[in-house]
Amino acid sequence: MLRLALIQMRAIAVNVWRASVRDRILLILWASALLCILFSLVLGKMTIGNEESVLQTAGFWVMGIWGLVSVLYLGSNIVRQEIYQKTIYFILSRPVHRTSFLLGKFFGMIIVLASLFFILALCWLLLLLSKGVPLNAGHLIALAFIFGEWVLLASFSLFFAAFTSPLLHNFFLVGLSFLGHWSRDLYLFSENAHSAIAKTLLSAIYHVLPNLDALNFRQAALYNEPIDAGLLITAGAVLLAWMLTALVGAHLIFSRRRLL
Amino acid sequence: MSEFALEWRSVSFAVPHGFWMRPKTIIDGLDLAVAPGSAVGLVGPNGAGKTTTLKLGAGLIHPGSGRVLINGEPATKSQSRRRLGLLTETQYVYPHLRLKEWLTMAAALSGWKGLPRRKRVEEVLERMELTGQADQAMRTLSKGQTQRAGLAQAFVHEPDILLLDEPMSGLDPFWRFRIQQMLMQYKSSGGTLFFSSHILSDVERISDQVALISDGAIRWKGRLSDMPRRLTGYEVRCRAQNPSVLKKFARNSRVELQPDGACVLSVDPEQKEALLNACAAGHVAIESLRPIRPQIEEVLFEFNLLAKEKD
Repeated sequence: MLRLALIQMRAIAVNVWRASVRDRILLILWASALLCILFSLVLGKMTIGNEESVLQTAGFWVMGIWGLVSVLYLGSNIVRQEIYQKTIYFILSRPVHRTSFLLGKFFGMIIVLASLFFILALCWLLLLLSKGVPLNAGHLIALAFIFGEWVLLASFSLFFAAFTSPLLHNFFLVGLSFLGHWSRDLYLFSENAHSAIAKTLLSAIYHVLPNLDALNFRQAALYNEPIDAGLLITAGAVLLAWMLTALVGAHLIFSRRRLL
Repeated sequence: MSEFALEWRSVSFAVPHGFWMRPKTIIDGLDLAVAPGSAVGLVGPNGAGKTTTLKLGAGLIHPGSGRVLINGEPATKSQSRRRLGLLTETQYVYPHLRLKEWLTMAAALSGWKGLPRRKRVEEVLERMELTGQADQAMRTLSKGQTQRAGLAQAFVHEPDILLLDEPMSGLDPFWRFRIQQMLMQYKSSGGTLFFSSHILSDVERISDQVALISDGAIRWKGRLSDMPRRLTGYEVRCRAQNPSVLKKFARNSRVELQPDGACVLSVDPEQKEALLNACAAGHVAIESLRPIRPQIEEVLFEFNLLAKEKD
């Protein structure tokens, strides 16, 4: 059973990969990310004595934003298109469980995102080295958790794609990404709010949304600060718990969804 | 092991329709069973529910009520579809994939991997004469090639049961014949075949039994040879010294004189005896006497009307 599911998930993931690398829009998106990283060289030259910091900040920013944009592009149609083009009949007429279908799609997205991330991260690191920026372990940790955030967004993308239209999917995912990064601020606002309703609402949003700021180690990398092991464990736990929650949610919804 | 390879037990299916999403019945208490190793053709007018019946059989959609079983297991259970091949009426292809990649994906989804999968894909490509198109993008295939590709994906995992929705659609006469041969060979090797078609000659040639579907219910099921086709008359070719003698036997007194001097006329069944007596008396020389029965299409149409009247 498990062996069959693995073969099926691999086939579906490879199909996602093929669709992506043959999609010109996605290739343009990737090229634009590389251009943005290169553009940070120009931005660096515009500052006085702060080029290293600009190069690093711009690189982190590009990877953060392009991750979200790539997930939006990949995820918005990942289920919808299969239903709309009825290619899902081709898959589900075979002994494929709906969970295997979803996981195959998820792993396909991860392969595509990992490829993009690898190219971007490598180019950025080479750029930093060529400019004599000293790299530290914090850079690698920050990069690992940026990719972790991409994976988390991909799992939420699949969750939204399991029941909404592409437009709503994008709206929810952008909201989740931005509010997730402001999670700590929301908590602080809720603590200081005078209105009981505002307090409850902000606190509820804080608890319902994943704390994406817990995955942010960019400042530590920038200033070569030591990172507490406890923080890393918390970040790993946040990542894993929310990813699993989103995937289980996607499974529960999609397994009950009517496809005709 | 179940007695039937495929079974629809009192199956009903409806889709939400209109602004208020009211249920519109597509399948209404359908009962049908297909024995292992047999071939059943599903015929019926457009919108009768043929494609929905096939989709229910393939477990793609869940019945509103009743049960659909594959070898005794619910069709919606993924494992029960392991030995099932489906050809949909339209081929739902991924435009970015090449034909070989699509077939490899189809085989992988059925659990095939490694060298056996590669060999099997090459085998079906060769069988469908699509080896030259193996590396071609699926969106560039012609209609006939796409249909053959669809059949290749249905066969690629060596299924025990084949569900085919209009398998001859878009095929030229040569390929229609080839596919007929393949399906008959598949059946003779023990495969179970359930297919829908508008082309009754195909149904007659391939299937052991025919099920007539109309308004989402089976109206009649049986062998085409068992179909009660009443005798409506005889077509007679004969010679007579005086052709006007034949007028009293002919329907509407119409006698067609052929260039070779023979006469062709239609005779009502009750006039047959009198014509034979005239022949025995030497007034008429009968060259051939062919019974006239209604076309299968006409009979099916009558059945359909009768069933509707009963409802």
